[in-house]
Amino acid sequence: MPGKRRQVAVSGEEPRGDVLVEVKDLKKWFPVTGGVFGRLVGHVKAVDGVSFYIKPGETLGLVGESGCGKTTTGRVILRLLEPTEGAVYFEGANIFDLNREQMRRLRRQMQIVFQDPYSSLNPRMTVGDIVGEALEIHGVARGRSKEKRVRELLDVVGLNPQHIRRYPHEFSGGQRQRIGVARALALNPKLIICDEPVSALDVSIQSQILNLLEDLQAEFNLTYLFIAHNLSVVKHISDRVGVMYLGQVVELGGAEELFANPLHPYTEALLSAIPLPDPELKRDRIILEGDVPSPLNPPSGCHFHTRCRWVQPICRDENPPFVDVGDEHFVACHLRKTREKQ
Amino acid sequence: MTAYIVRRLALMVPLLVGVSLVTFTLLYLVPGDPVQSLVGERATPQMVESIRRELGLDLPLHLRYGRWLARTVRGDLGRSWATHRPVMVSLIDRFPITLKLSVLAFALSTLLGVTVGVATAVREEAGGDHLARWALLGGQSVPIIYLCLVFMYVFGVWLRLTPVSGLGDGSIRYFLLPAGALGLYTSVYKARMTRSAMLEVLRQDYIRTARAKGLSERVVIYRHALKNAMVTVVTVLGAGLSALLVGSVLTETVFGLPGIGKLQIDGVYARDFPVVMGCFLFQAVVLSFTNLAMDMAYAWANPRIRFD
Repeated sequence: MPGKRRQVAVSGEEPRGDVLVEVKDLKKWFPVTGGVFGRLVGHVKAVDGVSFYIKPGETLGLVGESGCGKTTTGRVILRLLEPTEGAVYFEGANIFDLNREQMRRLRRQMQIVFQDPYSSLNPRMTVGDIVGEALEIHGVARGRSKEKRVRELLDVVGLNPQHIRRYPHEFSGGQRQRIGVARALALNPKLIICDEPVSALDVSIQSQILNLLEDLQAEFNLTYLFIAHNLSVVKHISDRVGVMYLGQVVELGGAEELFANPLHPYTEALLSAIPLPDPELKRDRIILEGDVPSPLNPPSGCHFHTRCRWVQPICRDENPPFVDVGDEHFVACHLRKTREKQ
Repeated sequence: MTAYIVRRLALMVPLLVGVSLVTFTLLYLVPGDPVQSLVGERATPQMVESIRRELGLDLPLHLRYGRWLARTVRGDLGRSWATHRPVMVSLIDRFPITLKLSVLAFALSTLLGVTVGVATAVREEAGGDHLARWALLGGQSVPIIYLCLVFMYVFGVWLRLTPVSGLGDGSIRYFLLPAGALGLYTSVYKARMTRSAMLEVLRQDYIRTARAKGLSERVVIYRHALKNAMVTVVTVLGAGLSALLVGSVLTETVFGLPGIGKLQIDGVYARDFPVVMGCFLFQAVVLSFTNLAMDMAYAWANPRIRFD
């Protein structure tokens, strides 16, 4: 049993009006089976009660270690995975209430760019087909007008429109990621989930893709959920940042504010790990002890208590509420108040 | 492309010479005297000796091979020692039977194998998937001869739907049972390969991409996933087709179909060298052409392959 039910500060029964996406108490548990008869032996709690919202036109960064549930969160929001519990409101409507056909239509509004530009493009299709297929399926354009639109899109993402008949393997990693972006843009979506879109690229190419994403956001008024594990990248591109640990968001706030004034001990530790560009500068590194506990059996109370240097008895028993400490800076930590007094 | 095909055809020549050399040597080493099995027990030693000289069996290996090769390149595969029919005529007579059996069995096994493979992959770990996998495992473990006999009994003897065996007038009715047994048997491997290839492909991000585009599940499975899985499956299909085309010795024997497989096995029993050599050579040619066709199919299945 995961502690007490987590209070969600952003909740209230009605979805907020001024946001594009609102995620409410989202859970995704993967069943784990064992033995000859496939007996259920437990659940991997990949996403375990996550709540946040994204406003139109902003970029929300989501950071955390490998396996903390960032990617799963992104996929559940797009309903590429079905949730175990919780709701995702897109423009006020819970997407999990939609039937298959309604969901298919909603996909025009929300798209995804995957981490690996090698495996996310169908090797048997030409660039024109990859980018243009959705246009045809959704009845936006076909034939000539489809090709025209695809050429436009290729141009927008900085590829040569003449390469429309080429196959993905004829492009470099950075170019392939541009194809992925062009594909996501094809239907003029409002939301694009960028699932570690630059992690698989060379550092020199990373900045090109990041700049492209920023330019496109300005041009088409896009909203991004930007999932990454590179803190510098997230700080650079995000308006607000959420920090995930073991399937939960532990802290969320404006990018500047969060990086300047981290309130959760896990955020503190993460930030202290960012390398400084000046070798003369030293900073107190907070080294976390031990490994991330298994999401199969997460610690009781606050999931972070096993590695927290400030741990108190209450942390073991109670899951801390996720509360707004002012200025849309949310944190889930029992010790926030006591530590402020110190 | 044309240059590639020409080169592949040219490469067949040394290949066929190699195959014939190896087979010829093996036949030479096989125990059992062909002349003895030709003339029977009661022949006098003089008779045996004269036949041996007549057939050129008294010559050393390299001379015998040289004579065979010289004749063969002129298009003459010789005559059967047992029946005196030209080997070429036998092959031409019998190949249509093998071809008919192969095409039927291949179509059936591909249809069945790919369908079951896709269905079980899509419903991975569901009850139907488990059931189908056990059934497939069972199918693969049963010897083909047994499967043939079961088919004969059930459909031919019991239900009386089809002729039990033989070629009859050569109509398709006589091919239903052997092609059914052979098709079912060979579909097992195809189903397993299709299933694992599909599972591999369904895990890829581009399948998630396809779903995110809002494509219907059918388009995702067939247009995106299966087309990619076929890159692997085509290999199995090609190998399966060539295995069928060279003649299915067991099935043809059990059902009494006078195809290439039957011709070959009878030739082997009778130590009928010209027939056996003719069969092997013919099979090598068929295999070479099927392989070439298979490589063409690869290029169709995978745009990353270019001929140059």
